[in-house]
This record gives sequence, structure tokens and C-alpha cells, in this order.
Amino acid sequence: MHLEFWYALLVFLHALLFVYWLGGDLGVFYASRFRNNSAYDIKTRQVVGKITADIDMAPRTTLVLMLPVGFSVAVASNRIAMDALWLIPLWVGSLAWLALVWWLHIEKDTAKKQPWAKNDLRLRLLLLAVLTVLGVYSLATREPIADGWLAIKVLIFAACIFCGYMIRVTGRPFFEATQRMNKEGPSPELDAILRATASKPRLWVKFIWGFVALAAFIGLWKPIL
Amino acid sequence: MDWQVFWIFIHVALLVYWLGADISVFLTSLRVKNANYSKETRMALVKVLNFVNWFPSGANMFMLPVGLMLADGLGHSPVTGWWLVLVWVAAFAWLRLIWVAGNKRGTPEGKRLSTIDLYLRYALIALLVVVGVMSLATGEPFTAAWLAVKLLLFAYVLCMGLGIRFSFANFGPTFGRIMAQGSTPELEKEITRLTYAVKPWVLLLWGGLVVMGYIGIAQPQF
Repeated sequence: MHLEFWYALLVFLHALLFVYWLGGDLGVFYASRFRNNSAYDIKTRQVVGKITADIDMAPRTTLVLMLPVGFSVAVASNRIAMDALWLIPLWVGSLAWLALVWWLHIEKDTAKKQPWAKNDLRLRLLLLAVLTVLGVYSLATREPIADGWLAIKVLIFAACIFCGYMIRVTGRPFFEATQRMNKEGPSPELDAILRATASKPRLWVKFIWGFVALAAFIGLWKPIL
Repeated sequence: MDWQVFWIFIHVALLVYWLGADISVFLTSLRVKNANYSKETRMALVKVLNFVNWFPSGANMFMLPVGLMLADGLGHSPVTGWWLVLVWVAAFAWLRLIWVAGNKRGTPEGKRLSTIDLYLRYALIALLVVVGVMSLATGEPFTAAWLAVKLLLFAYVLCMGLGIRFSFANFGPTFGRIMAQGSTPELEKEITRLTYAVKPWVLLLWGGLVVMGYIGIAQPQF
């Protein structure tokens, strides 16, 4: 199984993205328990909140890069009927999207961020639609992706985007309560909201873990489907 | 399904919880040194640090047995059959050792177990270097050169781990003193110094893991 240098590098990058996606999430998941714990003072919870937001950039970054890297691997291994030239706009677009995701993290002015956060969400929904169509169409017609397992990986990636969307939707009351806590200070009422709303987005996070691990496993296994 | 696929997946998953989890350890440790944070805040951060750090430690223990399973599957390894069982038993025993040592940190028993762990690491590093160099030179006992290089790199990674351990050894006691007696400029200076001293070792360790990951995928001819 000797691979050419560049192809091996791509496959390796693909695996490395998996590493930082799932591995980064571990810290976010554990540390967020401190952020949500009313036994800790507000300052502690804010600091932990900052750290979780920083660590969370690992899975956020890898999700965006997984798209061009995954397609590059598929093109390089002739598993998708797609001209390699299409990779150029895909990479440029993905890097621009990545820049947006990072800007949304670094910029503190929420009013300035809001329209762009909406655009980011729109882009995710568009990708969700495009990738779902691509996956289902390929499974049905074996074009442009001939291998069933790879079409399934595309669908799993779409499912991850969907879960990310659901984290945002179900996490909104939680996020708003956090914002209020930062402004007004903690109160039993806000803590009750935080406790009640923290579990739903967590469930979607766990779904993503399952999907990401499954996608990695299918990618290694390459079953005939 | 080929069992080899299963073990490759576990091998990569170990990298996930080693290299991937280390990001959290790294980013959290950069904040612990902030003297402006309250004791409570810093204590919470150390708790996060201690918990997440178990994952790289555990992954470190199982990387070798899982790697040897894969090498056996490829027919490149002399470690087969019952020898593999022995390696697995040893890995679990070792994990148990560092777990108990970690929980009894600061006691004489904890110190004794930690010393045993240290000597086991020295022995493993020596063994890996001898076997790696022999395999590179003669094609035996490991029959693939890239695998021999990975064994040598694993020895390198273990050395970087020791670098982290020695350069960061004073962190626990110093942090404990801040918690017990309150912050002083000297103690904070020491905490900051330790946080910077450990950094190069961490980055060098990550570099080793990244190169190992690449070699495992590319399996180049040397």
C-alpha cells in the first residue's frame, strides 16, 4: 500500500481533520459542564466559556476544511466523476468560508456579526441541500460518485451539517440565557433555564460524534454498497 | 470486514484522543497561568486540564499494542499470538499503574509508582531504539523499514513526553502553594516560566505524532 507523496498527504490531512474534529470536541464537551454549573462563580463560568469557545474552533475549522479535502481525495483517487479544475473554486470558496467562521469567532461586536452569522447559516443549509442531493442521486444512479460507501459518506457529512444546524436551533434559549447571565449576573431563574436547555444541543453534539466516527470507519472499510 | 480495518480505526481513534485532545490541554494551560483569575477559576481550569489529560495519557499506553496488532496483520512483526496477548496485558497493567499513581499524587506511594512508571518508560525507549535500529539495519525483527522508523519515532515521542514531565514537574507543587497560601509574584513567575518551558516539548511531541501518522498512511520505502 505505498501511496504517492501528494496523495498520501491528502489522505493524511483527511485523517488529521478527523483527529481535531473529534478530539477537540472532547475538551469542549467536558469544560462546558463547568460553564453550566451554578456552583461556580460567574467569572469562572465566563472564563471556561471563553476556553470552550476557543477549543470549539478546532471542530468548526475541521468541518469547513473536510469539504475541500474530502473532495480532493475523491478526485485524486478517481472516485468521483468531476473535473479536477472544480477543486479550485471549491478550495477558494471553502477558505473564504473558513475566514468567515474565524471572523465570527474573533469579532466581538454582535450587531456587526449578526447578518454574517445568518449568511453562514444559509450557506450551511445550502450545502446540506446540495450534499443530500449529491448523495442520494449518486446512490440511485452511481453517478457522479460510483462507490456506494462514498455516497453514504457524503450523506453522513450532510447529516453532520444538519446536526450543527440543530445545535444552533435547540441551543438558542441556552445561548440567550448565557448572554443574559453575562449581563445581569447569575440567578436561580437563569440557572434553571441553563440546566433545562443544555441537554438538547448536547444530544445533537453526540449525534455528530457518532456520524463523524462512522464516516471515518466507512472511509477505512470501503464496503461494497 | 477485515479485522485490520477495525484496528486501523482504533489506531486513528487513539490519535484523535491524543493529538486532538491535547488542543484542549494546551489552550486551557495557557489560561491557568493568568494571575488575574480568581483561585476558584484557576482551580476549575486545572480540573478541566487534569480530566482531559487522561485521554492523551491513555492513548499513549494503547498506541503500541494496537500498532503491533496492525503490524502483525501485515506480517511485518515478530510479535504474534500469545506475545500479543502479553503486550495487551502489560498495557492494561501499565494504565492501571499510572491511574493509581495519578490518584495518589503527592503521597509516598504515588511517588514510588510514578518512579516505576518512569523506569518502565526508560526501558521501553531503549527497547524501541534497539529494535528499530536493528530492523532498519538488517530487516529483522521488523521487516518493513517504515515500521522500524515508526518504532524509532515512538521512542522519540516517549522522550518528548519525558521532557514534558520533567519541565512541568514543578507546576503541581507551585500551583498547590498558590491555592493554599495565595498568589505571590514569585510563584506566578514560576508558573509562567513552567508554562513556557513545557511548550517546546509539547510541540516537538505533536510533530513526532504527525510524522508518524503520515508514515503510517504513506508507508513509504526508505
